Parts: sequence; C-alpha cells; structure tokens
Amino acid sequence: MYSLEEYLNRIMEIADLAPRDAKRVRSELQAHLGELRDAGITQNLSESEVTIMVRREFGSPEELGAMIAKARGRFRTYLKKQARRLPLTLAAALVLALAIKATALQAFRVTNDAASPRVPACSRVLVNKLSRHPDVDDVVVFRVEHGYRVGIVVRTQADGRDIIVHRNGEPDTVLAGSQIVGKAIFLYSYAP
Amino acid sequence: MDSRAQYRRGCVRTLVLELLSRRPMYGYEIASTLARQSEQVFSLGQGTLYPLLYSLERKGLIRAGKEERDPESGRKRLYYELTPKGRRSLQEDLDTWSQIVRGMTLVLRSAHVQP
Repeated sequence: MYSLEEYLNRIMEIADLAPRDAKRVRSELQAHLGELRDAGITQNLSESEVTIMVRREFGSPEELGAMIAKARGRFRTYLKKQARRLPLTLAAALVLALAIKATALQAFRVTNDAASPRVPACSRVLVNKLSRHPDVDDVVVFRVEHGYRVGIVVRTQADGRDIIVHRNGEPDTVLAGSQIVGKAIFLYSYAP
Repeated sequence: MDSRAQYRRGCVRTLVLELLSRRPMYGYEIASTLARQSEQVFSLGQGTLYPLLYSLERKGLIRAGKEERDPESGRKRLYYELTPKGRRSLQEDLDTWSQIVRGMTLVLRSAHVQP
C-alpha cells in the first residue's frame, strides 16, 4: 500500500521530467492530493481509507506518470535535460580537446613550400605526438626558437638521438630528439 | 486508450475550456467543479486532468497564470486561464457538440417513432 508521498513519487518517477517542470508538476499534484486528503479527513476516513480514496479518485500512478510525460512532450523533456547538461558537456569536451592537443594529437598549418612537394604550402598536417622517433622519409614537425617547422627526415643517427631534417632552400638541420613534436600522420592540402 | 475513454476525454477537454472561459481556476477547483456540476459523471480519474491541462497549455489554448498561496491551507495554487486561441477552439467544440447532439437526437428519436 502506498502512502500519498510514495504515490506522488511514483508518478514523478514514471513522468521523468526536466527539473524545473518536475518541480511545478510535483507542487501542483501535491496540492491537489492534499485537498483530496483534507476532503477525506472531513468525512472521518482513516489514513489508509484516505489513501485508497485518493488513489481511486486520482488514478493509477504508472498510467498518470506516462500520460504526464507524453503531455509535457518526451522530446522537449529530453532537450531540456540536455540543455541543462550542455555547459558541463562543453567544459568536458574542451578539457578533453586540450588534453588530446597537449599529449596526443595536434594540427598544424603549413604556410610555405619548405617540405614541398610532399607537403605543399597551404596544407594541414595532423601530428601524432606520441610518435617521437621518426624513420627516414617521415614528415615531422619540430620546435625551433619561435614556433614550429615541418621537414622531412633524411637520416637518423645510429643511437637514434639526433635526427637530420631536410627543408627546401635551407641546409639540412640536425635536431635533438626533444625538438621533435611528432610524426605527421595525416596531410591535407587545400591549395588551389 | 479505448474509444469510450477517448470520447470521454474529448468531452472533458471541452468542459475544461468552458470552465476556464468563465474565470481562471486551479487544478483541484476544475476537477471538483467538473465533478459537482456533472453530478459525479466526470468525477473519477482526477489525475488525468493534469495531462490534459499540460497538453492544452502546449497547444496554446490555456496558459498557466499566477501562482497564489491559499491563506487558510497555505497551499500553492496555480491558476489557469483561457487564451484567445482557446476561446476560439471552445466555440468550435461547442458548435461540433451542438451538431452531434442534434444528429444523435434525430436518429435516436426516429428509431422510437418507426414501427
């Protein structure tokens, strides 16, 4: 046997509304049930008789909950709930994006033909930062004093620590392993 | 929902609009007025009044107005009122109802008259 509070909870549980709607509906149903209860008490009914009377006059909580959910619009409720979570979702997505950018993947825009024809100007490269030991012929992005450069590995030292990189129009550069940002795993050229 | 329940629900919809066309009312007041004035014909399933009110509200036929606190019981009461669209819809419902009653009466009466 339900108490009135449990009866109301059951309706709200089935209706499963967005918080603001749930507050309004709950308050409205609670007031109505309270009025019915008072009417029952005026008729000298016992607490359990009142509950039976209210349940009979008000209807099945499962059926009622489902009808309220439908009347408020299930899709609207879904959107309202999502909208409430949106700031948190965006914050989580931002943190995740920054974490990925810092540790695993980063995109770079190539503005000149220093690594042409493999990487023409107006290309984008996606760099796998976890792969910092490139082989000969790999396209790599490396750090210099003021920014980043893209180049093609022409030779690696036997101990794998120094890497020699070629860029058109410049002498081959010897890089320390720590200068390597990562190996390019995806190239996209948007040059006309 | 079977067809009888649907028919009943259609009637309650018109009656709720009619009650709200007289003055703003809150849920319990609508339910109890409906039960009293219909001599308990529309007394059971008071809870189903709320899905009906929410659906009328979504359709723009009624609006939830001010929430007032009853000075005696201290309960909050949310008053509903009819919108102009609701008033037009009520008029259409009443016209339809008049036609149905007329049609039903004519047919039922003829059944008694014929040998």
